[in-house]
Amino acid sequence: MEAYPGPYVQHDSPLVFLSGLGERPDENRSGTSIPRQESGTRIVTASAECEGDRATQLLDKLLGHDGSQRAWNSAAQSGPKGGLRYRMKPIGRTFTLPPRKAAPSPQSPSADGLQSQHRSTELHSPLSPLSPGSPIYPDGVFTPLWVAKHQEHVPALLIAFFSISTDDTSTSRNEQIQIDINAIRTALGRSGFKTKFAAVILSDTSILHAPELEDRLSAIRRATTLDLKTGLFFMPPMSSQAEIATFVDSLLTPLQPLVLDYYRDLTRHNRRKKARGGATAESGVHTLSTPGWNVRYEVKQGVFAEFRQEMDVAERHYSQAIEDLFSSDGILEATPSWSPRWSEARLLCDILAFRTLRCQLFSGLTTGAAVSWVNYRARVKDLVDRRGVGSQTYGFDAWESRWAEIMAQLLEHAALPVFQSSAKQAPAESTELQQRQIFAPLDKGISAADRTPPFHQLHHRAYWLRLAFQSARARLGRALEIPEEDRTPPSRSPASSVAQRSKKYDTYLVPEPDEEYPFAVDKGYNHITTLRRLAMEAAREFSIRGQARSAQHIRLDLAHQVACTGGYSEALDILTPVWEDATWRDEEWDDVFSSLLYLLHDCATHVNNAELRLATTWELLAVGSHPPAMGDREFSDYVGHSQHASEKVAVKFENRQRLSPVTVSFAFVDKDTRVGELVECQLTVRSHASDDSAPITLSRVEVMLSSSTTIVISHKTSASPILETETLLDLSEAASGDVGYLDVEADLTLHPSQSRICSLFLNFREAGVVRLQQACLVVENDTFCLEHTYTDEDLMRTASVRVLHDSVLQRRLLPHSDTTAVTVLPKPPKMLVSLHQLRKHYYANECIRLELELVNEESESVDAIAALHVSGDTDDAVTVGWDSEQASQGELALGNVAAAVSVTAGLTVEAPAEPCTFIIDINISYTLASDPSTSLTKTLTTELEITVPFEAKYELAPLLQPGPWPSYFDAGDYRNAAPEGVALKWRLGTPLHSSAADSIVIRNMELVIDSVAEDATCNLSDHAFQKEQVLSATQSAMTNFEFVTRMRSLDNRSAANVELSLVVTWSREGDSAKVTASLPVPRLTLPSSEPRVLCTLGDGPAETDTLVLDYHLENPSMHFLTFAVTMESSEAFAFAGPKYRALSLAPLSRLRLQYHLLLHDQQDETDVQAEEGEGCWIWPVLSVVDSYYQKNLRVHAGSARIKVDEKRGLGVLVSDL
Amino acid sequence: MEARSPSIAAIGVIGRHNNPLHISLFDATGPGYEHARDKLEYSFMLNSCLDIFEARMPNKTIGHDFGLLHALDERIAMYGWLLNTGVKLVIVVDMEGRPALSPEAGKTAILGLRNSDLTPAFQALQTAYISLLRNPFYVPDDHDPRATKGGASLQIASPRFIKEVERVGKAWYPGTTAI
Repeated sequence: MEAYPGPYVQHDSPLVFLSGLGERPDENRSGTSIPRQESGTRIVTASAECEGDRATQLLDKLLGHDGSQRAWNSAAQSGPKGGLRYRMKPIGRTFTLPPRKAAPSPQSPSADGLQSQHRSTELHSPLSPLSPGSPIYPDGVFTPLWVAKHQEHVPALLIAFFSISTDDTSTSRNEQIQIDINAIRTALGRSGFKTKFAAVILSDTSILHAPELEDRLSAIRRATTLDLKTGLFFMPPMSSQAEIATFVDSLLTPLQPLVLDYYRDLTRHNRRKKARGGATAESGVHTLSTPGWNVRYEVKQGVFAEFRQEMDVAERHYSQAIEDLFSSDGILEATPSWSPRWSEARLLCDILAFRTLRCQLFSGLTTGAAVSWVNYRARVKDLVDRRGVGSQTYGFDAWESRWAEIMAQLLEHAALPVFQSSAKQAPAESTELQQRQIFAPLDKGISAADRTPPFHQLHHRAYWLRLAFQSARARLGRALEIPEEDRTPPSRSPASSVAQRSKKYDTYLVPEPDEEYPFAVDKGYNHITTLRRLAMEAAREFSIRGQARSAQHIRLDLAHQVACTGGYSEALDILTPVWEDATWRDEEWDDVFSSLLYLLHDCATHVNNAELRLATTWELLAVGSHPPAMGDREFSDYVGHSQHASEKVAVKFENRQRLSPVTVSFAFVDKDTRVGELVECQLTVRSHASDDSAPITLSRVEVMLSSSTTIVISHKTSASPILETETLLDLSEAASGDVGYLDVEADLTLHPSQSRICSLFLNFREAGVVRLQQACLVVENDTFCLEHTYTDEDLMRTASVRVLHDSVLQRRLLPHSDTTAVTVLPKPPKMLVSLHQLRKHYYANECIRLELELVNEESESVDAIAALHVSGDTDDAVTVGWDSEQASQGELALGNVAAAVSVTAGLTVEAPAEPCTFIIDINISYTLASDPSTSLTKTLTTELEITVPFEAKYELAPLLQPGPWPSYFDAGDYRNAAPEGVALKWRLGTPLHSSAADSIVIRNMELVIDSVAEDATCNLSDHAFQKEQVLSATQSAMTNFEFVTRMRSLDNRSAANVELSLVVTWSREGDSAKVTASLPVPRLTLPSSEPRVLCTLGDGPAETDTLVLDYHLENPSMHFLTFAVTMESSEAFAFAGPKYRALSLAPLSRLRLQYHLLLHDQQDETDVQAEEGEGCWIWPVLSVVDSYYQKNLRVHAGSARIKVDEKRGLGVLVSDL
Repeated sequence: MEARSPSIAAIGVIGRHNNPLHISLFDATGPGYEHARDKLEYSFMLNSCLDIFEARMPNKTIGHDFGLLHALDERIAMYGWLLNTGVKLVIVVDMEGRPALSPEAGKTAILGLRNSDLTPAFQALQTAYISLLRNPFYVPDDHDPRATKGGASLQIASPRFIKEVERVGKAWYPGTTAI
C-alpha cells in the first residue's frame, strides 16, 4: 500500500472545515501540495477565534466524529443512513481554496497564435489533462492530486464559529459577524466550489438570562439570510460534556444531507460531462482517448460515492473503470507498454482494484473480495505476459507480493468482525467462531452445498502475508539471478545494454536492476528488510491465532533467506526461539525438524557458536542424520576438531528439551528386595544415530537412585571392538562393598543402532522404596563437555530386561509395571516354624494332637512367644490349647531359644461334633537377644477340616416278649409301683456306614436312653455288642439292640415315646486313643395298643423233619377283635394247622397259632437264597385280617431265623433237615 | 490454457500425539506441471494443519469431519478428518492437479469443491486404517512417541496400507461417490 500515492489509498470521508476553533497539528496526513495554491480563493475572516475551554471541548467533540482513524468497515463508518463519519479539519480563520479552474496561459493568445489554436479558450480544472499546467497534461488519465484535493483541500462543508458575549453590547461585534459570514459566503461562491456553509454562534449566556440575545441573533440571521435549521446555530453555555456531545449531534444531523448533497451534485455534474462526451472535441496527437475519459469519469463517480459512503455504488464504478482500462481500446491495451502512461494506467488500475476490494470488505463481502483478488491477479499476469515484459521478472514478483500484502493491509484496516478476537463472543457461538478464525464463512447467498474453490473463503491476514512473503522470496531469487552486466549503474554501463534493460526488466514500482541487486552491499533495495517485515508480521498474526506451527514455519523460511544472503547471526536470532519451542521435536516430525537443525548448525558454524554447534550436532544425530561436514568422523572428533573457542564448552540438556541420539533405559529386575540382599538392575544405552554415521563414544553414564546411590559407568575401550547389536555386560563382579557409590568400567562406544545392556547388582541398607532419580549421559573431551540428563522416569522406564539364555540374548518381560522402582523390605524373620503329626483328615469329636517345632536359624538366641488363634466357620467354639501348663490365654512363652536350637510344643485341638473347617494361626513373635526392642514375627497358618467318620441308620422292629401279660381283671398290688402296662419288646438295628477316609476300629457300641416319656418305662436288654470291628472306608457294620417298653398304666393306650442315642467308641486303626461319639437316634414312637402278629420259630417235635411256626396274635387294645386267618398253600412245604379260620381275641389277650410245616425235598433253585451252609428260606404266607375293620395285619418277625422281606413278606430260614 | 481439474496432492496420516504416521505425495500430471512435489514442503504443510485441529478440537463435540482446514493459495487446500483414536487424516488437494479429462471435469477447477466431495476419500482412508489396526502385527503403541520414548521410526510400514493410500490418492476425483 505504501508504494502507491497516499491519497489513492486513503479512505474517503466527507471533508469538513472548522473555522474559528483554532488549529490542531495533523500528524496523520502529509500535506499534499496542490500547485499554485496562491491562485485559489483566499477566505479571510476578521472575527477573533473562539477561545477558552468551551471552544476546546467543542472541537474535541467535533473531532470525535472524525472517521479517518477508524476501521474501514460499515460498523465503524456508518453509512449514509446512520451518522456519517467526517474528516474534520480545524483551520484557522484564514485559508485558501485551490483554484477551481486553471489560470489562463500566461502568454497572451495573440503572442503565440499556434498554441492558442490548440488550446480551447474554455478553462479547465488545473488537474485536468486539458490544462497545460496539469501533471497529466496532455494524455494522462488521472492524478492522485485530484483525490487529495477532495480529501484535503475542498471541503464539503465549512462551519464557522463565532462567539458573542452579553458584556459586549456594542453592535460592532454583531456587525463584524454579519460581515464575516457574508464575506465567507461570497468568497465560497466566487471560488466556484459548492461548499456548504454553516455558522455557529457561541454565547456565554443563554437566551433565558439575556433576552436581548434573541434580537442580536435574529439580526444576524436577517443580515446573512441563513436558515435557522441548517445554516445558523446558536450554542448557549453548556456545563457537561454530554450536553456538548448532544449539541454536536444536533448540529451535524441537519448538515449531513447537505454534505451528501454536495457530493451528489459533484457526481451529477460529472455524469453530465460524461454524457456530453467529455473533451473529445480536442484535437491533437497526445490527447486522452475517449475510453480514457470514461475511466476518468467512472473513477470520479466512484470516489464521490465513497465520500457518500455508498460503497456498493463505488465498487460498481471502479469495476467499470477497470473494465474500461482493460478493454480492447482501453489505455492498457492501446498505449505502448514502454510509455510512462502505461505504467501510470497500471498504477491507476491497481488502485481501482484495491478500492474495489476495500468496498467489498467494507460491506463484508469476503468471498467477493477473495474472488476479485484472484481475478485481478490473473488479469494482470495475463496483461504483463502479453503486453509487458512478462511475469517471469522480479518486477512481477514484487507486484504479486505487493498485491498480497495489500490484501493483508486491507484486512487489517477493515478489521472484519469474523477475524476479531473471540474473547468478547458468547460461548455458544464459539464453535462457529473457532471455525471462522482461519477463514471467513462464505458470503450470504452462496450455500455451503455449492461448490466453491476453497481459496475463495477469505483467510486471515497471516495467510496473505505468507503469500506476500513467498512472492518476495521469489523476487529475491530472481534478483539474485540478474546477470552482472545489468547490475552496473547505468552511468557506467554502455548505453546499448541500458536500453536492453527496459525490454528485459519490469521496473513498475521497483528499482532498476542495478539497484535491485547492486554490487555494493549497502546500496540499493534491501530485500531482507521486506522479507523480515512480512514474515514477522505473518508469524505474529499466526501466533495470535494459535497457529504456532505455521508461525514457526514462516520464521524458518525467513531464516533460510537471511542465511542465504549471509546474515548468519541474524538468522540465528530468528531461529533460536523456534528451535527452543518447536513442537516438531516432541511430535517427531523429523524431516521438518532436521531442516531447522541443518540451518541452525550451518549458522552456528559460520558465527562460530560452539555451544549451539555442539547441541545441533547432537540433535541432528538423534533425528537420524548428521551435519554434512561431519562425514565419517566421530562425534567428539567432529565437535572438538573444528572448534576455535579457547575455553572448554559445556552444555547441559534435560529430558526431551533436546533430542539425544543415545537413549538410556533402566529397570530393576525384581519388584521388591530385602535389606542386605542383592537386586539386579539393568541399564541400557542405545544409539539411534543413522546407519551411515560414525559411532558415538560416551565418556560415562551416571545413574542416581533415590537412596543416594550413584552408579558411574565409565568408558574404557575394550580390546576388540564390540560389533553385536545388543551386548549384555555383566558388571556384577564390580559390585563394591561401599553401598553409596558404584564405579565400573565398560566399553561405551556405540555404533549406530547398537545397545549396551549393563547388568548390575545393588544392595540397600535401609528399607523403603528406591526409585531411579536421574540418569546422565556425558560426552566429554578436552574441548567440550556435553551432559544430557534424564530426570523423567517415564522416559527411562522399560518393561523388559535381557537375559542370556543358551548364549542367546532374549527379551524377558517384567511382571511389574513400575520398573524404575524397587521396594526394599526389612530383613525377614529367620525362624522356621513347622507343625508335626498333621493328618490329612480329622473327624468329629476327635482330639487332635499336634506338635509345633521352632528352629531358630537366626545367628543369635531369641526370646519367643507363640500365640494361637482360631478362626473359621464353626458354630461351636473349637477348643485349642497348648499342652503345656505354662500357657495362658493361648499364649505360650517359649523362653530363650539359642541359635540353631529347635523347641517343640504340644498342641491339642478338640474337634467339634459337627463337620466344619477352621484355621489355626500360630504367631511366633520373638526378639533377638541383641535387639530386644525390635519384634520379629513369623506366622504359621494351618487349615483343619473336620468331617464325620461314619453315619448310622436305625431299623426298628417288634419282638416277642415271652412274659405273661397283665390281666385286665387283676387290680394289682397297690404297693407295687411297678408298671402295669403290656410289656412290648423291640429290636433296633443300627447299620453303621463309614464315611471316613481312613480305616477306623469300632471299639464299642451301646444304646443309651436319653429320655422316656413319663407314662412309660423302657428297659434295655443286655449289652449286645460282641467284638471290636475294623471298619475300612465305605464299609458298613450292623449291630442289633433289644429293649422292652411298658406303659405305667394299663389304661394308657397312647404310644410310648423314647429317645435313645447310640454311643460309639472308636479309634483310628493302629492308634489306641479312643474317641467316643454319641449319635442321637431319632425319637421313637412305640404304639402300645395296636394289634400285631409276630411269627416265631417254635420248638417242634424233634423227631420229625417238620418245622413249627408259631404265630402270636396280640391284642393289647381294649376291644374285642376278630381276625380271619388264612394260610396260603405253598409248593415249598406242606403244613398242618388251620388253613382258614376265624379267631376272636379278648381285649388284652394274645393267642398262639401253631403250624407244622413239612418241607418238600425238591425245592426251586430260586428259593435257595440263604448263605451256604445255613439252609434255605421258605416263604409261608399267613394273612391275618381284622374282620371288623377289614384291615390286613402285617406279620412281624418275632425271633431269630425269621426275617421280613420287603417283597416276599415273611421268610423263615430252614436249616438242613 | 488447458483445463485442469483437482486431484489429491498429498495424504497425511497423523498420530494421536501429532506425530506423522504416513505421508504420501502425488505429483501433478500434465504438461507444465511436471515438477515433483517437495516432501519437506508438504511435511510443513501437513504439520501446519495440526494448529487448526488443535484449535477446533475443544469445540468439536460430534462428528469427525473437520472440513476445510485452510487453503494456502488458489491451488492448495487442506481437508481433515479426525478418527476416534485421535488419528488425523489430512488430504491436500491441488485444484489444478491433473488435466481435465472432460469439459465437465474442467469446470470443477473453477467451480471448486464442496466438503462432501472429499468424504469418499476419507472413508476409504479410514477403512484402510481400520484394516491396518486389525492386522495383529501392527501395534499402535509402536507408533506412539509417548509409548516408545524416541528412537525407532514411528512411520507406518505396512505395504498394504501404503498401497491402499496410494490407490485412494490416485482414484479420487471431485464428485466420486465411492473409492
